Amino acid sequence: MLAAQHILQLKGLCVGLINETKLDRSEEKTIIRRVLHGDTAAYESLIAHYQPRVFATARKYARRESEVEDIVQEIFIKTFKKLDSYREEAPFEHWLMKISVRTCYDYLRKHQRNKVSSFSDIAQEDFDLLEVYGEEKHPTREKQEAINKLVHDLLERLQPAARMVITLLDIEGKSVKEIAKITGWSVSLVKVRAFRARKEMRKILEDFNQEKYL
Amino acid sequence: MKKNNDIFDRLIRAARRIPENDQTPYSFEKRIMAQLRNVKPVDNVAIWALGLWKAAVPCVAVMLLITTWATLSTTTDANASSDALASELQYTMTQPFQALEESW
Repeated sequence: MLAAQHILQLKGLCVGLINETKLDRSEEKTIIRRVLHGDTAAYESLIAHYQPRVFATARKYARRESEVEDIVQEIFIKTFKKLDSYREEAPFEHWLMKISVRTCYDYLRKHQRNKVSSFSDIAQEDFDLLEVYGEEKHPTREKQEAINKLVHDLLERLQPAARMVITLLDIEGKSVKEIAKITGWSVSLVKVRAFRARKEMRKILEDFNQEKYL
Repeated sequence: MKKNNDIFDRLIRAARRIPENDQTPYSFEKRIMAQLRNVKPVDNVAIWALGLWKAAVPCVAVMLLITTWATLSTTTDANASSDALASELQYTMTQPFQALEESW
């Protein structure tokens, strides 16, 4: 059973590598035109080429693999339906990523989990690891995994807009203007949301620290 | 406060170091293509036709309401309004001639 799973993962990896082959922009335009003229099968090559990027984006907002797959599926179906509104001046990838981020935001809003005030699901040791994070140049794999889990746990506590803005601005390092373009929010709204998001995150960290000493 | 800022910075640094996981399930594109077969292409004419059909029912209802209201109001005030209407008509018809007489 385990071996079969490994083989499947390996196959997925191989497919991913094959799909990474560069798709020329003119080739891309030809494919899009073919799809728009009714050759639906041509869309498969676009999916194959861009799915690793879309999967990586979806995994930043959803944890369960089944949820990630649902989001990616929705993104590609939405893209297919809206393909006639794609203007060829901008690269297709930018347009696709815009749809991806907006779909992920919709997902966050729909699946906003009931916020728990208690931090019982966060291990104290993991939080202590964060307090000393960066002091060790090469943390062990276990430590790194624990920190990754903690980062996800803490980000999950944020409101959807706050999570979106912290991920794009602070973690991915995108500019305010870029975020405004991707999300469709105004530049001032992105700034306001970024300020609130950081405040919200600091409050979560403060609450955790207070609970720690109780 | 300063400590929280510091932890926040560490959290962001840690989040940046999480490697991107871009693995894709085997034959995922085939699964989407199977889904796309059920997606019907957008037919603008059909959307318009559907909208117009939906709008037809309330339009007929409004028309019937107005007709009923107009019929009922004319039958109840029939006598009173017919006199007023007659004198108004007479006035309107003779007004140009009266004006003509005055200016002459």
